[in-house]
Amino acid sequence: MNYGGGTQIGILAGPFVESAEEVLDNAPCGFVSTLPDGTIVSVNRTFLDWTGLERDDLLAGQKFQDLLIIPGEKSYETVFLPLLLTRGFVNEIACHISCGNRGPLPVLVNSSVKNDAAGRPLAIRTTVFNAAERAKYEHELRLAREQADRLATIVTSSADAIYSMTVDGIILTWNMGAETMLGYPAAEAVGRNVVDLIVPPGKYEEFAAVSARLQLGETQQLDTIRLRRDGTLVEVAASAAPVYDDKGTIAAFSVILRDITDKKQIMAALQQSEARFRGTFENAAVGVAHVALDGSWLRVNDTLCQIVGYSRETLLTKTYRDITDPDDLGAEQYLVERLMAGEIGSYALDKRCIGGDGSAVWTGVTVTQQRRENGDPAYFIVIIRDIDDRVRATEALRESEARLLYAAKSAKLSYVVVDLERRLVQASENQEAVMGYATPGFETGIDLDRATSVFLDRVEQADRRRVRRFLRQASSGDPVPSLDYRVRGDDGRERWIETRYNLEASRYGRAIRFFVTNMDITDRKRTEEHIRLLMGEVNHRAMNLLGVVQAIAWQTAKSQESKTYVARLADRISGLAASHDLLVRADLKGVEITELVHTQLLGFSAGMGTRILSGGPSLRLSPAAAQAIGMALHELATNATKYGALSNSEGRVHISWQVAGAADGLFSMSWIESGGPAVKPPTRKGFGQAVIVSMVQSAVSGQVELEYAESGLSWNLRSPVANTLETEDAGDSAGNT
Amino acid sequence: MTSNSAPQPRILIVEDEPLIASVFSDAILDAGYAVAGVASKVADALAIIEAGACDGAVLDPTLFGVSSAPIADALAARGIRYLVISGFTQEQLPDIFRGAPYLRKPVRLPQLFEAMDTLFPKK
Repeated sequence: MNYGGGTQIGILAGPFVESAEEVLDNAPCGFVSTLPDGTIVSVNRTFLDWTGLERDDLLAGQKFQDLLIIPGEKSYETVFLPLLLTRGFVNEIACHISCGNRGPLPVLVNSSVKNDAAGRPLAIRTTVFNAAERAKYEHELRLAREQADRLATIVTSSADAIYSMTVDGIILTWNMGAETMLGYPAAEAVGRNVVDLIVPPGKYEEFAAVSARLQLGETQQLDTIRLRRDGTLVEVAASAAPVYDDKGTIAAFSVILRDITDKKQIMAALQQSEARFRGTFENAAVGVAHVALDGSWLRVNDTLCQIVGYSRETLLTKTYRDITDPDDLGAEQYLVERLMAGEIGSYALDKRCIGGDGSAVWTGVTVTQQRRENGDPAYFIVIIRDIDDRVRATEALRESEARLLYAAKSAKLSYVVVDLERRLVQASENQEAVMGYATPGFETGIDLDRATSVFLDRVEQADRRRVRRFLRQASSGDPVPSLDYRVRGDDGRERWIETRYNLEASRYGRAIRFFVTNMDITDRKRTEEHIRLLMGEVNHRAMNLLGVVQAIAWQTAKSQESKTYVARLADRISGLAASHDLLVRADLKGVEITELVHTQLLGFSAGMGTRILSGGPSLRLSPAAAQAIGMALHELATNATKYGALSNSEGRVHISWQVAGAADGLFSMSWIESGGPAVKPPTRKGFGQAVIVSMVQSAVSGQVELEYAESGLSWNLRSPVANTLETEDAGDSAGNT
Repeated sequence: MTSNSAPQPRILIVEDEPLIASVFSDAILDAGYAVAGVASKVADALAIIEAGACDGAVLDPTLFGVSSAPIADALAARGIRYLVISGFTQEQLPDIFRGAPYLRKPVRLPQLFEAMDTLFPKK
């Protein structure tokens, strides 16, 4: 076999003879000869077998470097070849050769250069060793080294303290974590006994026990305490294990300490929080409960039991429906459904709970839903407050307010609250009825300035100044008892209003609000006015009457002997008084004529109905006519008793009256005597004559005919109805001077 | 007691109460005045005033409930003085009567005479 330069290699070895050619061709390594540019010129069988190529393919200009898989494409040219050419050889270059579909084969390549006589490279001889086994070993070695490195890194950089010690406690290794956690640098710790260094005296026994167990081959885990170099203690979770030597005996212990101070603190905080929660739940001033989705009580606190009036044991056997007043259940179930559906996040409701003794208690409940992490409803959190007193007080207040309003309405009294801090005015619902005008929004509250302006617009012009002054005084805190003034209503009618203020001040004297009452006193004012007029009228009439009495006295004195004067005067005054009495009893609104006749003739012996006959329609004489006619009747009766029909026992008097025509008609009245002694006309016309003739004529603008017939006196009056009788609408203005 | 020669002031009596009018009438005559007339209605009084038949008046401010203010106006327009005599207090009277000399009923005759002497001096 010809190799490249055709070198013959003969090997002689005992009885087995192989040609050098055969030896080279089948040697357990590959031989490849190339030109300096790598073109293969000779190759042995082993190499061909490895690559799976044919000799002819390789020798047809294939370059050796194309078969190599060297990390980096240009390595052959940049590293391999330069090294080879400068040194003349390379040894044990690790690379792979491409072996077709069998994958790359790890190989070691040795090459040497054959130079020509001039020292120029002629050929390169390369030996290729199969390095598959060695590569595998190297790989494992590398992995092991890496693992060890990693472990060392972990040990070195771990925050945990990691150390090892002999079975007697002498420290062998000491990582950075140990340095940090315990305060001793490795140089200081190694070689010292661990017990002297980091085991606090209180933990000696524990340490001895753990060591004993480690010597038995057991690993140990425990939470314990170690001593730092600065004397402080550190809580640690310790993990220790025995370390065996090649012979399988326990040579050392390895220990890992983890600082659990933070963990302990978190646990403590959690426990505290749990305790706080439990405390809050159990001791809350409000009732607190967890209620299952089916309505049963899961967890309740004492306050809740007290509010609803059940023992905890009984309550936990019930559902919230069992203790809800049936009247309130519908509303609550609707809210629960909406809560379950996620439409609302929580609800608040005032409802009655039926206690163990059957009594209803008003409660305010607030319910929220606790959900699981996946959003499903878990249970309800229920807060219950006892609002029984509040609700009942509110009810009582509402009732009392309704009563107050009712009373206020009956009294035509409205009230207004003026909030001086919010400058808001609110009125009772009957404010409009009392004041007679509407103020929009008054019931719910309107601005003070607006309310004042609406109000002042309604106050009668004449009263406005007084009202403004009153408001000023009231708002400056002056005590102003009340004010009467007039307002004009929407119906145009004038009303009298009496307003009173009550100022509510803070403890420090600052005005907080006014409580104002408005009362419709129109009726009272009208009555007062009426009384005032009436009093004036009565007083005036009394003065007039006294004037008349005075006149009677003078007139009587002129015409009478002094011995009969007193009797005559007294007689006339009593007649006048009788007429006046009738007038006053009829509220000064005229006198019924029949009554006047009876009254004036009552004192005369003959008596009515027998010798004195009277008749006529029911008519009401005006005050002036009643006074004049009354005096005339009195005078006529006096004369008749003295000289006329009533002076004997047979004579009679016939009195009659009638009206002819309507309002513009004629009134007539007559006094006719008969059966008396023969009549003689009087010798002189005295005061009596004036009373029965001129006084009556003047009072009623009428005509009196007086006839002294022998058979008896006759007196006839005719006067216009308008001057004589009281008209229906004469009313209050009746009267004369 | 009428005076013989010189014509005396003629006094109009405006009064709706005949008895009182009669007393006034007697008293005024006794005091030496002439009575111009007794009127119990506004129209009657105005007729006498317009006829120029009076030199002074005693005046009741209401006649059967009717104000006698027109009479006061008419008297004032002619410069004729008048004495108001009423059962009302002066404050209760309408404004027009308030400035005038006033006597309250019942009237004492000496008072009446004194007032008349001042208001209606005799010649």
